[in-house]
Amino acid sequence: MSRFLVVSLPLAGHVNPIAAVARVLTGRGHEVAWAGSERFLRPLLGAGALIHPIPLRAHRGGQGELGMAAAKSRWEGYVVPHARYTLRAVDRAAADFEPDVMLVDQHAVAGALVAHKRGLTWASVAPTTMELTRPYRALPKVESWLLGLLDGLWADAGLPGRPPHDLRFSPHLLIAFTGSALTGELSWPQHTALVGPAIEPRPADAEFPWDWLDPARKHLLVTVGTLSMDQAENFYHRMTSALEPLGSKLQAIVIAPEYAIPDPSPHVLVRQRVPMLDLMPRLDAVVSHGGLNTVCEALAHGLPLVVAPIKGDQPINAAQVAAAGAGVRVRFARARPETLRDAVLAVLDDPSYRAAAEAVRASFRAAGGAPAAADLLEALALRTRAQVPALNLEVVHEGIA
Amino acid sequence: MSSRTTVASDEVVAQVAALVRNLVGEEGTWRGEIGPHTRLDGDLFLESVELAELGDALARHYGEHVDLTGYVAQLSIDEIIALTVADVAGYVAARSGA
Repeated sequence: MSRFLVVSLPLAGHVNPIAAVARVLTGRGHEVAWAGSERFLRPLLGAGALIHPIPLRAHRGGQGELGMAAAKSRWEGYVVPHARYTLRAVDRAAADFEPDVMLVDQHAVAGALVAHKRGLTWASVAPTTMELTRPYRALPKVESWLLGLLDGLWADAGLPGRPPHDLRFSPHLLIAFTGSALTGELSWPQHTALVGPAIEPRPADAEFPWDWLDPARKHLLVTVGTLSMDQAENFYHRMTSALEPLGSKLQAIVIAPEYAIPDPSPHVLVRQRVPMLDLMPRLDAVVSHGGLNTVCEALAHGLPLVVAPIKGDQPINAAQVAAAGAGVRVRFARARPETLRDAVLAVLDDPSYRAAAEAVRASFRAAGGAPAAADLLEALALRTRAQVPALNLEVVHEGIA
Repeated sequence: MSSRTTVASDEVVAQVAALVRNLVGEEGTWRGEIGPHTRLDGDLFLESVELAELGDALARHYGEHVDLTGYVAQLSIDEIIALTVADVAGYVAARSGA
């Protein structure tokens, strides 16, 4: 039996796939502890989870901005202050729990610092694709700005010199919840495992009006995450205009607050939340902002996508979906209703999108999901306990250059 | 931005603005708004794919030695956020003698 300490961020999209892996590990008799907010984590992890509490603190960064300004804000306004704020509590959790292996979210840098400080084996976990493909590698000054922030955190943590490698990438293991059918062929760091989506079972929704679904029509899910009022008004207006003339052909389920779409057409159902995994098998296509979890859940059900990316890793995921042939990318802020309608009709009517989505589904299945991630973590813990040297830092550093 | 000294002629600025308009294209309401002070990242949120497309269009129009991707690669994050149509036109003018 081994002990695993998880360090992530108080964001559901980050925690959910890691929680799926943790569930497999505890099911196999291992112990898993989390360092994070009790109030945030408890509803996601359930009553039995072991949590070393870190009180929530709001960081202003990463919310409203788009483009490069969002990258700057994400790091300077969120990732860095969050790492500073959580460092001591994460260190205490590691001291108390004595993990064999730490699981560290690529954006939870405090976990990497503590692992180095204590000489612990650790795995990086990529619940988003934001850092995974190092999207700024073609922008040397941007990349060096980011590495400079990591240098600063390293020094502030009282660690000597400079980090021996890019702290977003553990030299021991990197687990990413995507698949090569989606990412395409890239040169990954050593010890990278693309395990496909790790999908958590979620409670059934007794109130969902299943009777509303008309088997004679096709079904489209529209889910673009939480939007600011401006964005929501604008996007939903264009989207409902796009869907307006398609009532004889399809029914659309839109995940949105009801006030965002007043008086929807009879073929449009607006729900604040839906039983996503129960609904997926009934769908024909998904319109998404390109969050990795939604994209992968759709593809894991062989569903083609229309992706309208807003920020963060979403443009990366959108480009990957388009490149895989499993969907169409549209501009979130600018696509006119006609453009959105054409995209929806394309993924519904052209069987090549469905076929490409099915191919991605097959590759996800082969990748193994949460159980495959758990296999790798178990093996890493065993190696650590046997004190077998696992790596050569220099080689790893070259591997990600 | 201070690091760029070449000021492009109005004609080049207008040409670059037109290429940017073609790129973000279809969407009517945006067309009129693109001018010298429009920021590619900060206002239009152009993604790297779109920036590469703009680079291709500029190279076709002004010649191969106009390398927008290479130019942007030299900029800091703040310079990328602030990069305007006029800045790109200034770079084009410096590289092409236009």
